[in-house]
Amino acid sequence: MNEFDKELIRRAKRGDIEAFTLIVKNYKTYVFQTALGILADRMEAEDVTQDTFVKAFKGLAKLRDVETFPSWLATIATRRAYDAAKEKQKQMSHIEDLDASTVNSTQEHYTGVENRMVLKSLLAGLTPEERTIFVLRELEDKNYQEIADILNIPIGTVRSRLFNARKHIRQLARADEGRNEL
Amino acid sequence: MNCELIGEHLSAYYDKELPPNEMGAVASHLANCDACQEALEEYASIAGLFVQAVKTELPCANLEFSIANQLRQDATEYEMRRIRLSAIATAVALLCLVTGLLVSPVGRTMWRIGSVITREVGVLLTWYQQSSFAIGTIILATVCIGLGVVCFLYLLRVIRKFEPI
Repeated sequence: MNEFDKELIRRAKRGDIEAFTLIVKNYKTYVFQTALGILADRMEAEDVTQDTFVKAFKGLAKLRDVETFPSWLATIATRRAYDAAKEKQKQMSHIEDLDASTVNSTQEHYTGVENRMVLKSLLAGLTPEERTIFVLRELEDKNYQEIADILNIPIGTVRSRLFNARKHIRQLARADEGRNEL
Repeated sequence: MNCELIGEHLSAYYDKELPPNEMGAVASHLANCDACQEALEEYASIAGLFVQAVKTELPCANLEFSIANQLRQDATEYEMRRIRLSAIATAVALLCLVTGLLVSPVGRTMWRIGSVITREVGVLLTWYQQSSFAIGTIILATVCIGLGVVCFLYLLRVIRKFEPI
């Protein structure tokens, strides 16, 4: 983090919204991509990004060391996206009579955008916890201890969930290849 | 170590999160197992595909402005709540003060002081002798008006501060 960013954070700590707007400009991609990785939905990722920055601004006064701002912000974003993914999963489990045609049309909505399709297909079937751990490891390059600290879970759970996530993604990729060959 | 046992270890090996002795055991297994090598390569290609898919997506250009607007809106609402609370607190304080002055010994003392002042400076305040008001009442009224003016000025200051937002 450069001196200019540190000065912006100090100003934002004193309630300067203009300074915080510049911080948002510098960090929005980082937060958005973390949220997108976990949620695989652009609209939801933008909502989570907005919530993350609003929450960060309100809690900024409590941040003692400005140097830790990026990791502090990433933790807020990850937890917020993880909660949103859990909430979404809960809502989806309540929709029992969702017929196959609805599912197909929802999937077709993404076929136009290759990246989102890749994301959707890679993350389909993973639990919110597995997705979050996978994103923290592959996108944020966090080690197991850091992931365990962010999600407040034991390090052994991180290891097993990550293994399950990879196993699941591999199975999906193979099933996909099988369908393409047919 | 066989392929079934290696499962979770292979994922941790890929992340370089195994203790050195286990890293060695997995590495020696990998040297003789094509299936596990393939799995390891798949981990890397899946990660690459995932990171590429995410990194090419960008948030909307004006996101910082909508966040700034929301923050300003929140600040305005907070200020509104503060004004309402200030107004209520000021009114309650004023009421308590006036009631306190009227019923407490301070009020009675003021009344007596008023009587003494009236007696001593009665000559100077000849107009008072014709009136039916006690000097204590006048002092009390003056204090209340003074407090009212202070409260009004305070509220005016808060409202003026609020207006530019």
